[in-house]
Amino acid sequence: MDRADEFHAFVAGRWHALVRTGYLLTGDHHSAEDLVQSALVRTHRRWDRIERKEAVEAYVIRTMINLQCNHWRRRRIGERLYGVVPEQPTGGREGRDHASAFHLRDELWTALQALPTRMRAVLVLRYFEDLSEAETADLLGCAVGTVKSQASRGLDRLRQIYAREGLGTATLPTETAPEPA
Amino acid sequence: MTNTRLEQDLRDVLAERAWSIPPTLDPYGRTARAIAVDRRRRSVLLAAGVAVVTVLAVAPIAIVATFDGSDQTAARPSNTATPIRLPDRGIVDWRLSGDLAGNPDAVTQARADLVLAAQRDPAVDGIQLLAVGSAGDDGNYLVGLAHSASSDTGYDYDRVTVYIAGPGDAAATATATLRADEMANRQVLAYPVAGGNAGHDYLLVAARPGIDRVEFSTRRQFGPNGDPARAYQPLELHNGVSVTPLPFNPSDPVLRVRGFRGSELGYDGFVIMARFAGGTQLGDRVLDRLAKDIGADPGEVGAAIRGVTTGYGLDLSAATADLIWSGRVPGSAGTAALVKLRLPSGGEFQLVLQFAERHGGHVLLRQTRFVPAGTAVSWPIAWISDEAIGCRLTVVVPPAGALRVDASYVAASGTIPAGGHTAGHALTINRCPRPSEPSHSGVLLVTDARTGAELMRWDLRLPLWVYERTDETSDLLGR
Repeated sequence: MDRADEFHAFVAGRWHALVRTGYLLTGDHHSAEDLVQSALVRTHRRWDRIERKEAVEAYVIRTMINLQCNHWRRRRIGERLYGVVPEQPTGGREGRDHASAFHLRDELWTALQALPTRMRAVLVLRYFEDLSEAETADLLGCAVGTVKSQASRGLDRLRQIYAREGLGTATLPTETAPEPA
Repeated sequence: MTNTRLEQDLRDVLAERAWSIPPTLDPYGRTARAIAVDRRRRSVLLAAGVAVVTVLAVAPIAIVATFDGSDQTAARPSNTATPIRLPDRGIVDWRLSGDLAGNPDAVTQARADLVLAAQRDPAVDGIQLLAVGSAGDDGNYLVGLAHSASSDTGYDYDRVTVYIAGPGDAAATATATLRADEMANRQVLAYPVAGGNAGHDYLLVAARPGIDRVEFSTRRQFGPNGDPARAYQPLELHNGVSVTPLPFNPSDPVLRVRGFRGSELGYDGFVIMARFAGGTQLGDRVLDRLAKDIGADPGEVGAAIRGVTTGYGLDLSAATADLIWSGRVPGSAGTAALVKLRLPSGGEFQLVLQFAERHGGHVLLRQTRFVPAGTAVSWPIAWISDEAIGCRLTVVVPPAGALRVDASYVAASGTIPAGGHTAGHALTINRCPRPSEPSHSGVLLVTDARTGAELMRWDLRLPLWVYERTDETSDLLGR
């Protein structure tokens, strides 16, 4: 397989996964596609020099995060021509039903979008890509301690939503919960 | 790894959202085009770099060769009077208006700010000064546009970047990037601007020359019969620009802006704000019964309806909800439901709730649509969904209506028919071209297949076509 075929295969195989990650970083579908495209263009420039092709995806994600951190890529609220009824709910506690869970998730998503780009990237890598702290640090090119502190601060900010809703964030009684002492 | 409730919810949210996005068409093709553009740009930069090196190497020789005591270094006349690039791509056709139209100082300064901003983004190709306006005591705002052709950027669509500079800003800032086709022949631009000296949010409106009146609405109210009604406030234009402080907590996060040329409506658009009004959900029993009737998760139904209550500040605590129809939508993985809500005040309106699921019960899509008040339960009801290519129109004729219907979408680009469908089922018309400006329209026509009687005519005009229906005669149909 030559260079072009390798790159083609990589794009064809990983595009959608990268766009999903890009969407979590940008919060916008079109921006996510643009972000992935830009990162792939940069990756293509260095394709011959990347020896560990199994690490390409990590390289692309790192490039995406760096691009997203670029000030000029941040989008502010703007005019939207399409008059979609806003569906993001907000505020207030409305009982115990399942609706509250959906409401809470929408609030979490909104709060996630408000986090600084790098902090959001840490949470996406840890909780969507399921990378370890060491792997996350390696991908972002920072210390493990930085990943820990960024994740901790990010979770603290999200935790405020639960406090506002009067909900606890204690460990869930699931199979992965730590055993009581 | 610990698994707190927060962490678990975060995982669910990330997975749910990440899997909710539609697939990209031809991802490798767009990447390949972008790579080709990147190569061209880099080769141009390389050539420019070679030229600079050549000049640096040759210039000292030239200086020595011409050193005969005469002054060869006298300053040339400043070239700052380069004219602003006027619109030449049909994207916009705006000029400075009002008393700034002939003010070269204002033009020069504004152009300098915008060019500085544009230089930070190598993708932009020239910049167009759109408007300069006064913000009262705060100083001047200016608005500029930069156009980037898809062939220059490798993106799949031409882009227009909007730059805004306000008082105290060193230079214009790229505020938003819009698709160029959405900008074509636009009459008004409207954006929320955060900050300012007082720390308020402002609504910035730039109107095309000729637009002499602009008004906006921050509030939508519902009359006794559920009819949405808006109250508009006039905006004062200075040289085509208006900057107005926004209410701290608008009851409606969808601001509506209209622009008039004389008495003619030239623009009607929305500005989506980040803040939302409050509201009260349906009672638990009503919600549970409705969800049971629909056959959907109570939480999901509640979340869809909450979108309405919070967005419009509705109090549904004592409202009743009745299911008119529910079923599957062709071409979609999920289901849809038509619901009639009755307010305690006697007002009533209908909602379309559309659900789709992926594995594990995660929500893929949720839509909530208003349907015109007073629509009989036997009348066809239609709604529109944004798709990757065009839009999808869905029509439902409830079982109480005609037995068999024909439907077609008529637009300037042609007619898309969808005939012979049985009442009680949903029919869809896919890939409907989306009108690109208010003066364009499409018409959804539904007729009784047996008698030919017209059951429904829905004029779809941007941006009104989502949840406002008109029964006006349409030129497209020639009636």
